[in-house]
Amino acid sequence: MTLFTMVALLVALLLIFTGVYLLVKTHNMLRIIIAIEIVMKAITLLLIFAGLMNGKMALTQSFIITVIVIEVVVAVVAAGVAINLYRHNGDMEISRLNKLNG
Amino acid sequence: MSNEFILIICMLAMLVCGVVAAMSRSMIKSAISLAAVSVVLSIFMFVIGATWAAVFELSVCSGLVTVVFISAISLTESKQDATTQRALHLSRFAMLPLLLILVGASIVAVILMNGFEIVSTADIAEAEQSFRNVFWNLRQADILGQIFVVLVGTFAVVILFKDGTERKKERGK
Repeated sequence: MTLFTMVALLVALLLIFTGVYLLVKTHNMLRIIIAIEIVMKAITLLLIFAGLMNGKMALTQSFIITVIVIEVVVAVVAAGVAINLYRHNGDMEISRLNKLNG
Repeated sequence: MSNEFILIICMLAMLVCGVVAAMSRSMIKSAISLAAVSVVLSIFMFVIGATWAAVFELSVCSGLVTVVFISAISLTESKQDATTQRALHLSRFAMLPLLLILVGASIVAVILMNGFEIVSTADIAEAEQSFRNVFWNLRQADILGQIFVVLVGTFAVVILFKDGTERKKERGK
């Protein structure tokens, strides 16, 4: 295995670990969105790496653009939920999310 | 300086910015670090030749998402005591760098002991296929899916920020 392959895998896995650690440890809704974003960046890195390995860079770019669109929509909707959570409760505590009613 | 060296530097910078985004006590610093991760990732994409994806990553992820985050942060200022917050934050995230070193060392050890190998199957004929052809002709279902996702997201935001007075009127009826 080359140094480049090793570093790519290592960085992607460590970024996923960082995101999951943040997801588990925090109670702040905005930090949870940041954790999801960090994991999505790691997934994007793995997708590019896969494209680089199999040579199908056009197909990989198409997938990455789809991932980016989904990532943005998730971030925007989650930020909207976070703002509503703050308006209802005065803080960003995720355990109070069940008190939001439509 | 070879391309591989630049790519390795980019990946290490991504990891550092990601850890700073996770560990930073200030939400603004976290959002900016996340934007830095996106910028470095788009540099990585430019270097390996994925220019379209790099443009999307740079404009959408490090631009639009950062604006959304900073707007959300400024709309939701916390009233918690700063010293309590600092102590709580430190107790939660002080162990993260140590854990990352341990996990990283164990991943390297597992890879080296098992002789894990990734074989490059790069095919020049496939590589030369243009992005335009793949995106617009071969992956049309993906584009349709993206349009639906964006519409659903827009609808969700409209519902989330529906005026409160309208709800009260609805309840009154």
